[in-house]
Amino acid sequence: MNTAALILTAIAATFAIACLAAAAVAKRRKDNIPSSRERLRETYLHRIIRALDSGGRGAGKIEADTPRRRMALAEAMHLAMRHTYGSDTSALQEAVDRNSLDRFLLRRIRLSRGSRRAYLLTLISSVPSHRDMASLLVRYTRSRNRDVRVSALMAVMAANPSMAVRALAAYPYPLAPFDTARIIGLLRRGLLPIAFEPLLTNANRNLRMLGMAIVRNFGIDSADKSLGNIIASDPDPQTVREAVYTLASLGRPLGRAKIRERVADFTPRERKELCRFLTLAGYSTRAIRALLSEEESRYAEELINSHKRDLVCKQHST
Amino acid sequence: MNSGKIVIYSRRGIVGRMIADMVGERGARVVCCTSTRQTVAACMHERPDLVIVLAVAPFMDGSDFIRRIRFDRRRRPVVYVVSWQHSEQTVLSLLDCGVDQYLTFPLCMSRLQRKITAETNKSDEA
Repeated sequence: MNTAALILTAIAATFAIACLAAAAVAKRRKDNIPSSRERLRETYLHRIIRALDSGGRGAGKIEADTPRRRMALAEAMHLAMRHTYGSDTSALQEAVDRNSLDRFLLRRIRLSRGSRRAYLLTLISSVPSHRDMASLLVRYTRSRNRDVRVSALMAVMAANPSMAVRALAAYPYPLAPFDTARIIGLLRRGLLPIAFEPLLTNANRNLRMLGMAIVRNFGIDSADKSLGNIIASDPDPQTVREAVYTLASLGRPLGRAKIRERVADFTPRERKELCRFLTLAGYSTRAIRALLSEEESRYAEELINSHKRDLVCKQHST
Repeated sequence: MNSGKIVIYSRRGIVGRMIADMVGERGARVVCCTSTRQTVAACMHERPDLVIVLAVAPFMDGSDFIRRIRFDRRRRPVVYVVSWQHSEQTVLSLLDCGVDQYLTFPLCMSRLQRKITAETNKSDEA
């Protein structure tokens, strides 16, 4: 009896402590009170921004002597690199070398698994590292975990930008739109060259997809002809679909016979999606009717009318 | 740089303070806020020359955020929005709302600093 009471009391006490801890964490989050780890990260971030602003002065003095501090420094570097571009990142190389940050992260990557490994690979892609780092990270691009292999690909590309296209060509899995968006993030930070023409004509599907993502993101309307060629002759339906969307996002005419022919091969659901996209992109109902059937283009009219109704209702309510 | 006043709003405090580090190095007084209510209160109290909003949501949630931060018609702060969104529609809607500049992440530090210096100098001359 006594033992049972003791066990029950212990369980109740544990539960009460867990509840109190959860409440304390929730309150900290609500009040935006930073944890000690966040404060440490912020201190490093402040020093990194100051070093970047002054052309690298003081970067060599940034010191992280414990694993906890090194992790905070890596996270701070990632935050700074992710949000800025155009600064001389070689200035931070000194801080990385002084604290062996890339070796530290590599060791952690080796010891971790799953999403933690993917996170660490994302961190290492932001840390200025030496080119030989790329060869040490290549093996993770063949991971069974999708998040890990994409993060590893990013890290390899960031470590050795001159080999980025080759690394992407050797990547054995098809890139999803989310993956290409992550690579575009690297491009926007100025880490990779934006040479879209050779990508669009490349035999590798991933490179063509990246080329189209570049065209879409940077609004390069001179890519019209290459996109037309992909639509006309590419055997992969997903690539053709991406090319049609890219052309539409540039606001180019879509009435060509070859485009109509390829759009006719889309599934009804894909055609409806395209109809919605074209309507939102501002294509006229006439242009949509030229591409889709009469019945399908009625959906575009419905969308436009519902938008007009919405505007009228808003005007009445204000 | 002169001693202009800048209010920065970001739900992620650390990002707001990072931008504050970028722009505050040159003598500007910077106040960081993590909620729209705090931002409006800071604008009333500080009367800033520039408000940097690191989000799009406050302009879209129907709270009339821009009117509240520009409550004083005589001293109209310049509003910059910085976000990850690239869509043309978002940019146009924000400019229609009354936002003066829309910038996207990642930012070029030196370009941001120069823009802000020009902005605070302009408001000083006025």
